[in-house]
Amino acid sequence: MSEFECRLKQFRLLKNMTQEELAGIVGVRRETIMRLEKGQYNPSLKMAIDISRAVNAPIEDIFIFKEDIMQ
Amino acid sequence: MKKRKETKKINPMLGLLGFGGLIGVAGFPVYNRTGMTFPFLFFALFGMFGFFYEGKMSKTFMDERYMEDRMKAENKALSMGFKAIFAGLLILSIIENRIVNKNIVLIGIEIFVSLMVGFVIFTIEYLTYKYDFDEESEEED
Repeated sequence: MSEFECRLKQFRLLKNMTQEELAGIVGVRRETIMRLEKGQYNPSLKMAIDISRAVNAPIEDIFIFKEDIMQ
Repeated sequence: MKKRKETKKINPMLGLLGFGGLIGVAGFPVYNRTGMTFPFLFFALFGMFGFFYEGKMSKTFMDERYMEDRMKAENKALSMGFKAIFAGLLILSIIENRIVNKNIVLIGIEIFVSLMVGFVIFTIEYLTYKYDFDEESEEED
C-alpha cells in the first residue's frame, strides 16, 4: 500500500468544520476522520470522493502520495 | 431515510458467560461413567468471553473502516485457528501410535477443536476492538 500524506485537516478548517460535522456529511465515524487526517487510514475511492465534495477541494490536493512528492 | 447501521447492543458483563466453558471439564466424569463425550464440546463456550469486547463496541456505527477492521480481525482469527488446529492434529498424529486407547486420541481432538472454536470466536471480537481502539488518539476538535 502506498504511503500518503493527508491534507484533509487544512481543508476542513478552511471550511470551518469540525471532525464531527465532516463525519456526519460523509457518513462515517469521527474516529475515521481523525485517522484519515493522521494518514493512518487509506479510504475507499467513494469515501475519498465524498470527502472531496464535502470540503470542496480536489482529491489530489487532499491525498498526496509520497511518489508524487518525490517527483 | 437511510438507517445508520450499528452494532448490536450487548452488555459487556455477558462476557462472564465465557466461564460456561468450564462445563467442558464435566466431560471427564461423564465419559468415565457413560462413555459419552458430548460435554467436551462445551469448551467452545470459552469463546463467549468475546461478549466483553463486543459489548464495549455496542451501538458503534459500522462505517467503512469498521467493516474493514472486522474483516481483518476475522481473517486473522480464522487463520490462527486453522494453523493451530493443523499443528495440534499433526502432533496428535505423531504421538498417536504411543497411545493404546484410541478413544483418548478422539477425545483429544474433540477437546482441542472445541477450544479452538472458542478461541476463534473470542479472538474475532478482541481483534475488532483492538484494531478500532489501539491507535486511537485524543480528540482534536
